[in-house]
Formats: sequence, C-alpha cells, structure tokens
Amino acid sequence: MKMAYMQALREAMCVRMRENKNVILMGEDVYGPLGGGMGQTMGMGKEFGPERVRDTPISEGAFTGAAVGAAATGLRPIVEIMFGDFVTVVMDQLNNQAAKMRYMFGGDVSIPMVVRLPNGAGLRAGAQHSQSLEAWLTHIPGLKVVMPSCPQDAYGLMLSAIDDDNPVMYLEHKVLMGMRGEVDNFDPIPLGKGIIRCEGSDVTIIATGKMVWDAMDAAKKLAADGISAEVIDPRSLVPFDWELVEKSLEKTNRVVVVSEENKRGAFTGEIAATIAEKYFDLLDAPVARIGSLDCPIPFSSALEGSVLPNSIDIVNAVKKMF
Amino acid sequence: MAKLVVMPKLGLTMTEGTLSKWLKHEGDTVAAGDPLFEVETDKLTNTIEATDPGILRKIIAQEDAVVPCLEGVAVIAAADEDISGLLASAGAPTAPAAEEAAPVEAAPAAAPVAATHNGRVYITPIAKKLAEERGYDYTQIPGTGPNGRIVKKDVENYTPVPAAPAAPAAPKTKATPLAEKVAKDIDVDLSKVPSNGRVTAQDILNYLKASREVVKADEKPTEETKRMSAMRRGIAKNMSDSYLSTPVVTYNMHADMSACKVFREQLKNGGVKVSYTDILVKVCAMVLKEFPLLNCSVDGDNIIYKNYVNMGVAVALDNGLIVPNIPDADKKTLTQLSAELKEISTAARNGSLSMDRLSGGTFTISNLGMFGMDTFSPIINKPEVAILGVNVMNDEVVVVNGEMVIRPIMRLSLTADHRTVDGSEAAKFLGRVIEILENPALLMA
Repeated sequence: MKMAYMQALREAMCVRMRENKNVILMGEDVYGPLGGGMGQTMGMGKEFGPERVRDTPISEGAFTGAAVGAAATGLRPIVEIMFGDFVTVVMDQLNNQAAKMRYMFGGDVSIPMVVRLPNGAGLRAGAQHSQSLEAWLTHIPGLKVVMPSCPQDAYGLMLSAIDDDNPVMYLEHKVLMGMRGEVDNFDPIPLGKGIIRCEGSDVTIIATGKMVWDAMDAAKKLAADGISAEVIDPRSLVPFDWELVEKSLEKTNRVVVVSEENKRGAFTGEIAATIAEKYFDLLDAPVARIGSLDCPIPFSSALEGSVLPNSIDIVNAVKKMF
Repeated sequence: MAKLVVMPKLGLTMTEGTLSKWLKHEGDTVAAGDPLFEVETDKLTNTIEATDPGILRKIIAQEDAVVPCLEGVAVIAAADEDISGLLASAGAPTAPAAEEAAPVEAAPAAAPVAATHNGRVYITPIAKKLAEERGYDYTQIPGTGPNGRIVKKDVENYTPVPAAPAAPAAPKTKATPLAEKVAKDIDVDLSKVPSNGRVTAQDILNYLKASREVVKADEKPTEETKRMSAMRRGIAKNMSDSYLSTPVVTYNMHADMSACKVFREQLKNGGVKVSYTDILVKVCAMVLKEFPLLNCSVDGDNIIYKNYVNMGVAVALDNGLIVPNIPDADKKTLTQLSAELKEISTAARNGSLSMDRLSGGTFTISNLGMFGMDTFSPIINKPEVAILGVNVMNDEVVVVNGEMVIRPIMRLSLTADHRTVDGSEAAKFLGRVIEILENPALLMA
C-alpha cells in the first residue's frame, strides 16, 4: 500500500490507539483541523475525541512533564513537539525525569512514552526551526532515539516506539513528511535494527534520516565512477546496530558517516569514534564524517542549501579515500 | 615576481640533499628570512630560510625527497601569479627519498620502498594486519593511498621478493591433516619431524618431547628493520668506499709522555690550558709538512701534494660521527688550535657546523683514548691518505737504562694508504711524531 511518510506514522499511532485506550496523544493543535504542526495527526481528534487527543497550551515543558507523569502512572502517551528544536525547553523533563525514573525507582516505575520531534532543515524555516539535535538526546542514558527515513520505517518504528516501556525519541524529518512509499509490512520494526539500503563492496556510507537519500544519490554517482558504495541506514541511533556496521566494514574497509547535524559534537562523531575503537583492524582509510557547517541554519534558501551536506559532499569524501 | 626555491649547495662537496621537513605549508604567506624547510645532508641538518616574500604556492619536493643541488623544491609567488611556466621548467624529480637514494645502498638486500614520513611508514590498520598475516615486511610495499599510505589493495597486489640467501624451498613434507594443523598451530617445521613416510600428530609429539622445541610466542626473538638516517647512510657509504678501495696498513708505536706531561703542566702554570689532542694536532701539523706524502691525495695515477694542512678531528655524536677540520693548522699556534678545536667540536655536537668545515681536510686524528683503547685500525677519511688513531695513556713499566721504571705511555695507531705511503715512510712519520712528543722543546725548532 503506497502512503506518505506522515500518513504512515499517523496510521501506526491510530493502530495502537484503537488497540489500547491507554495510548494517548498530546501536543499543540494535534486535535484541531490543522492536525499538528504539519498535518501528521489530521483526523485523529475526530476518531479518538478530545480526551485522548489533547490540544495543549504553547508550553512544551508543561505538557511533556504531564506526559512523563502520565507514563509513570500507567498511560502510554505520545507527545508531539511541533518543532524538534523545542526539545531544548523539555530537557529537564526528559533528562532528569523521564530518562532516570526507571533506574531510580529500581524498575518499579517505567516511562512508556514517545516524544515526536520533527527534525532537520530544508523548509526554509530559519535557525530556530531547522535543527538536528540528535546528539542532545543520544547522550542521555535512558532515552532511546529512532530516526525513520521512509514510510515503511515511519510505520514500523512508531509501533515499536509506542510498545517500548522506555521513553523513545522519534525524530521525524520535516522534508520527508510528504515522501510516498510502499508500506507492506505492518509489524513493528525492532529498535536497534539497521538496514542496508543498497549493497556495495568498496565503501560503507552510514547515513541517517533524510541523509539516507542523499547517500543513495551519492552511491549512484559513485557507481558511475566504478566505486561500489554500500548505504546503511541504522534507523535507530540508540540502540545502534553495530553488527550491521561490522559486517559491512569487513567487506568495504572504508566508511563515511553522514548526518544533517552540524558536525561539531554530532552523533556521527560517536559512530566514528566507536568504529575506530572496535573495528580499527578493519579500516583501510580514516573514518570520514560529514555534517552541516558549524553555524545556525540560515533562513535564506540559497544559504540554507550551502550549509547542509549533500550527495556531492559524500562523493567527494569517498573519493578522497582512494 | 614568482621565484623558484632551490635545494641549496651548502658546501663544495654537496651534490644532493634530503628535504627532511617543510616548515611552511602550501598556501602559507612567507616573509624573507622565514624558516622554510630543513635539509639533511650526509653530514648536517640545516634550516633554509626564504629569500623572497610571497605565498608558498607549490611544494615540488615532498618531505624525504632527495633533491640534487640547485634543483627546484618549491615556488614562492604572489597569490594570483601564473606559475605554470616555472613549474614546467623546474620539472624536479620528487620521488621519495627511498627510491632516489637507492644507489647509496649497495647492499644486495632490497631497499625499503615504502614512502617514509620522518621514519614512519603510513599504512592503514587493515593493510598492516593483512601484511602481518601474510608475513610481509610492509616497509617493502609501495603505498598508493592518500599521502603514500599503504592500503589493503597494495598488500593484496604485493609479491614479496624472495630473500636471496634463504634456503631453497624444501619439498613439502607429507603429513596427515591433523598433523598439519598441529604443526601450524604450534609452529613446528614438519620437515624436521622424523616419521615413517607420512608425519602423524604422534610423530610431532614425539619430536617435541625429544627436542623440547616448544617456543612460546612471546619468547620468540624479534627483529626490527629501521631505515638508516641520512648521516648513517653517509658514514656507511664513505667508510665502505674507503675500506674497499684502499690498500691500508696500520702501524702501532708508543710514546713516553713524561716530558709531554711536564710540558703541559708548564703551559698550564703559564695560563695556557691545552689537551693532549690539541698537542697532537700541533705536532702532526708540523710533522706533516716534513712528510708531504702523508698529506696528499690520490687521483688515478696522480698524487696531489698540498702545501697546507687542514687537520680533521673526528667528533663522536649521539647518532653518528663527523670529521670537521681546522684549516691551515700548520700555521697556527697551539693556543689558536686549542680554541678552534673546541669551537668546531661544540658546533659539531649542536649541529651548527658550516659545510666548509666538513670538507677539504688533509689528515685526520681520531682519539679513542678516553674509552681506554689499547690499539685499533682507523679507516682513512677519503680523499686523505692517512689517519692517526690515538689510544689510551697509561702508566706502564718500561725499561730505561737497564732499569724498570714507571712512565706514562701513549699508544698511537697510524693507518696509511700504501699506494703513496710505504712502510718506511709511515714508520718515519710516526717516529718523528713520537720524537716531538717525547721532546716537546722540538716544537720550537
């Protein structure tokens, strides 16, 4: 069945809400006709009513805190933060409460909640609405972080995120919202299970979110130059599918890690460092890392494009290895 | 104005230099007088300064490249200036040192071909692992990756040169599969295991019991191959050339240094502090004027006589040896010689010696006395024809006028080139040196 990315993640939310009345949704405008920030929840208010699909005041700290409490006391809330950038104002609720409670109460409490964070740039939304803050979240023990890159994964990862008894950060990319694709598997995709998007033998490109598709484009360009690139989409950052990376590296011995985050302190650094630690003997070239420039995302579309990484950057990084 | 920066000629005998280190990067702005790069010759390391201001537009010779004197190593020019003409005219070879220096290494063993970076060979982790697994010496593998790095493909494509003197491959010993596995696991040479036709695992166990040949991996002796420094290569070449091309004889005699000791004390009391080496320099310089055949050089069928004495003195360094010389030693006073000797040996040790002090010597003194040496046969520093080895000075019992007395005795070892210096000439020279040492007043004559 062909569906759009945001339709797929909506369908998955609806499936679980139909099955389990404890699954609820909260966020700004999620109930109303706008259907959330970009229409991800359109129609859900009508189906599930204002009690389970709750419009909230513009106070992410308050409603995320409320969701942590609700999760601790038996519900399975889904929270929509209209722009992932606003995760900064809910860091205390996530870092000091949601991520810690299960540990601090010796497992007596679990926090089964999903925080949906529309991520990334490309919509000319300016510096405060275009960021990729993966590293803020991956750094915190107790949070899981997933990053679907296509409708099928948006569906399967949403099911797993809702089913998980831990707080799961669900990074949905703004530019991918309208991407249409086949969804033919209606099972949950286990967290920590990556996928090979295209097989290759000369270099591994690990890419996340929208960058998966830039990496695929790069792989095509590289193929024209006789370089066979394997594109790996880890799908979830925490937990991470190291086994898949190891298998690929045994074949290719070279790796480029790509994300849309600005490069300094990005999660790509964690991936690169871990590869150097664990798979040093498999490397035939230094690990290359690609990200956005270390600056706020510009509002001007021309400048925005120049700050973000693209397939040409990936091709160039790969060619430097040979 | 675009300028070609060239490998400088730092002395009369310098024909090429190793560009050991760039102190600026391509694209750097350079002012006249800025340190630009370092040059290593067989004798010295010198820092070369920029003579013209501009931008270091292009580095032609990479680090470790051996470049003939006056060939281009870089271009300094304005930011937007066209330098293509200069680059084309330069056409300087930029091959890494190892290849360029190949003729120096006359030894039959294959020279390392991997590009080195200050002695390091760049190799990726997997390439290194693979090379070790296959038992290759990776310093022999040419690297084709970025920065000359040896990559996996280079190891895969590499065919090792069979070590020449190695024993011919023994015919494969027949063995059971288990025996083969056991032999491989515990590293036993199957061909050495006695058996009745086909080696079995039991044969190996019996053999081990008998020979106790089990050597644990961590107890295995190891070897390490390191490339010689430029100075060491220079010493190796010069010493081999000299030793293999010259018929030499070493003559040993000893001097009773009693009078010399008194002479030195008298000088000291008069405020002149000199060492025995200083005195030997003075004495030899004087005697060489009387024996021109020991102060000459040989060129084919010709003998080149010199009417000056440039006295070389071997100076040991931490990592090698060099022989700076004192020019016109025969015309200088003992005080002057002593001061100059101190100056050149200090300069030699801190690497600030000028190239001219390292060439043009006519005779060499090499003193190993401080190490307690009794006798040795020094190798002549070409194109000179003789070298005086100085040994330890010890109190010894000697017979003087039919009586045993204790005297300070110094032993001297003169090596001379028999093409010009016959035994009688060498003996007379050494005898004369000793005569003066035993009667220092003769220095006044």
